[in-house]
Amino acid sequence: MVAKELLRVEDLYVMYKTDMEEVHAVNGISFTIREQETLGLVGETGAGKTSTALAILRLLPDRTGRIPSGNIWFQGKNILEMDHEELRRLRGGDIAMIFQDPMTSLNPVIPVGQQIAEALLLHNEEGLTREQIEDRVDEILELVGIPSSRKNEYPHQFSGGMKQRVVIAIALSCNPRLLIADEPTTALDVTIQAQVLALINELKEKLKTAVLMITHDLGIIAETCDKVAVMYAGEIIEYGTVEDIFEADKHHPYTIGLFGAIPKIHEETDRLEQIEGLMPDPTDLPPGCKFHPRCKHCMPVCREKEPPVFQEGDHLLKCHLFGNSSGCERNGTSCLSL
Amino acid sequence: MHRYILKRLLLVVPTMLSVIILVFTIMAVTPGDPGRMILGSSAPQSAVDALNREFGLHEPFLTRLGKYLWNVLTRFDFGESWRTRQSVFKEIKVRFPITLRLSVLAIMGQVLIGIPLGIIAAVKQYSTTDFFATVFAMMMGAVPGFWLGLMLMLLFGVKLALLPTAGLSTAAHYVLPVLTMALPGGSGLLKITRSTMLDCIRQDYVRTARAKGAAEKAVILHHALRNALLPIVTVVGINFAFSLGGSVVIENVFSIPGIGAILVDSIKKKDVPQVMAIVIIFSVTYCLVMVLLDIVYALLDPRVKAQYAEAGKRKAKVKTA
Ligand SMILES: Nc1ncnc2c1ncn2[C@@H]1O[C@H](COP(=O)(O)OP(=O)(O)OP(=O)(O)O)[C@@H](O)[C@H]1O
Ligand code: SF4
Ligand SMILES: [Mg+2]
Repeated sequence: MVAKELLRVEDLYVMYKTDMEEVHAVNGISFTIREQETLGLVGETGAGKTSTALAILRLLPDRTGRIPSGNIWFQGKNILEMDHEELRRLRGGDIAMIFQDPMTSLNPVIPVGQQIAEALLLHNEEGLTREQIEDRVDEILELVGIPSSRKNEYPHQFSGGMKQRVVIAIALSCNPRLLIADEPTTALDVTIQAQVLALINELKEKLKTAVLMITHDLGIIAETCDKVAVMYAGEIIEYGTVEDIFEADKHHPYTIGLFGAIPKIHEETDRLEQIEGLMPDPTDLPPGCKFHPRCKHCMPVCREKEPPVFQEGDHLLKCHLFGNSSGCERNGTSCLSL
Repeated sequence: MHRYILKRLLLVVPTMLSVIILVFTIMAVTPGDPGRMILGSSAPQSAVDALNREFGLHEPFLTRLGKYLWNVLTRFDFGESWRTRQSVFKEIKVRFPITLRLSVLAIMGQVLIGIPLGIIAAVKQYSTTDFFATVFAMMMGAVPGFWLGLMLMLLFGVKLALLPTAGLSTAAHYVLPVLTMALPGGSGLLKITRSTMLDCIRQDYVRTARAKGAAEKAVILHHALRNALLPIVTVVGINFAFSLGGSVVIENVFSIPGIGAILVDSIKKKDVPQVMAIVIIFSVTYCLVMVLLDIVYALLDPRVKAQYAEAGKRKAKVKTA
């Protein structure tokens, strides 16, 4: 049986508008996350991963960030149409986020215990008393491996890894249905990385949370994800199960470049390989396939027409090399929302 | 922490010594004949010389300074005013509280004007409110205090005849002088509040607070403002010291019997003991405000507190070693 759909992003665009320029950070992406499923979102720096995550929580910077079109459905409600109160309940309650940089994500003048308690107080549907909330804080701290005796300390008294644990504790404190983890380990050293990852995995099992895992790290994808979406210049150019991404024969040229010679799922993997050339300037994206200036297989058609979506089972590819399989013409975004 | 505060309090002593020596020297090297000033231009030279002798002015500078310091340090004796022949504290006791009260009211006014407007301007950056707040701040920052006082006096006292313009006999008398002192300082506070809040609102931890589901008001006041308070408090402290000194001008404009009038008079008449006593009172107040600021810093920011504690610990280690 297929699990129930939790989050559906439909043809989402994100733009940053400053005085000088318009940055097209996300350009019509669609994907679905089911209950308890983990979707990995990979791509080079600047691909639009964080922008996508922030759009889901409507946390894009006030004056510059915009969502010109698209829909984000969460349990049947459109997040983009929610009012302040609904958003307040969604944030931290239904969807929680672990931010990219643990060093700056905690408030330096508030004890960590209070920062966790705040989340609990804000989503206190069970009507817990102050003491019960304090007990919960102790419990959550122990759960992420921090002695509860340290809850009255301030962020500057914690190491980077411990700060990230506190950030995770805040995110998980209210048992969210969906956890967005934006590169939860890149700021940490290798041993701590493994611990934090194991922690997220363990909590995912225990709390039955679905996860949107944003990462550069192929190891993390192989270890934690059910599905993978590969992002390039604000588009999803390949989407499939972990097996599809690591083992299928057909791949998008960008994915191949990204993975070097595609590593096998059980082999030790490195971080994403460097691809020659640079990401296109998001203020001035090329026409046709956005990858064509860097693509070894670039054909004349690639420079003019946006590639259609090729589909094989759940595996989706957006590249002229594979042509157009089923009835998904145009840019085929609706197919990606499978 | 306590050790740190104690240390800061002890530091007031050398600071005061330097102030005394500096001001005493300035008074000694500036021209002017105290005996002549007091007795008037028609008095015979012999009487003037006799009076100056009585003040000890025939002695060399270093002897005079030494005697002054000796009296102050050993007997806490600041001398008598040369003009009135009474203890220097007689007038200070009556007048300093008036100046202090004005300054405290002015600071409260500044805080009430500057901080809320600054927060609103930051939260609604580029809105009409922000525009008017910024223009107001720029105007107030550019205008000299006495001119602002005169204009307020003209508008509210003379044209509209709403408020009294001289003296301090009723509460209404306080409105114009306090406003005159609060508006320029408040505009500075507005500017610093706006810019630090703008900075804090963009911080990651503010986004974390929003992501938790905190309401906008809590995000601004609880998370952003608490972090913005350090520079804001600094400006409040500096403004307070400033308004103590600045009250000299404002008291003159509004004919207020504060300490400013006798300070000016004493300087003109070269009444050295009186000038010294007033300057010392100002400086001690200033130093105490600075120590208070340090304590407030520690209360606001745990990192500062940790630093203080750290400094104390190092000191202790060095001593035991
Ligand atoms: N506040 C902003 N104002 C203007 N442009 C922005 C802003 N935030 C992001 N961008 C731009 O949007 C594009 C996508 O950024 P985003 O942060 O989503 O990338 P990312 O995939 O998360 O990268 P990374 O792996 O480095 O975190 C980039 O070109 C970036 O420069
Ligand atoms: S569409 Fe063309 S340019 Fe783009 S990835 Fe495929 S082959 Fe390369
Ligand atoms: Mg990012």
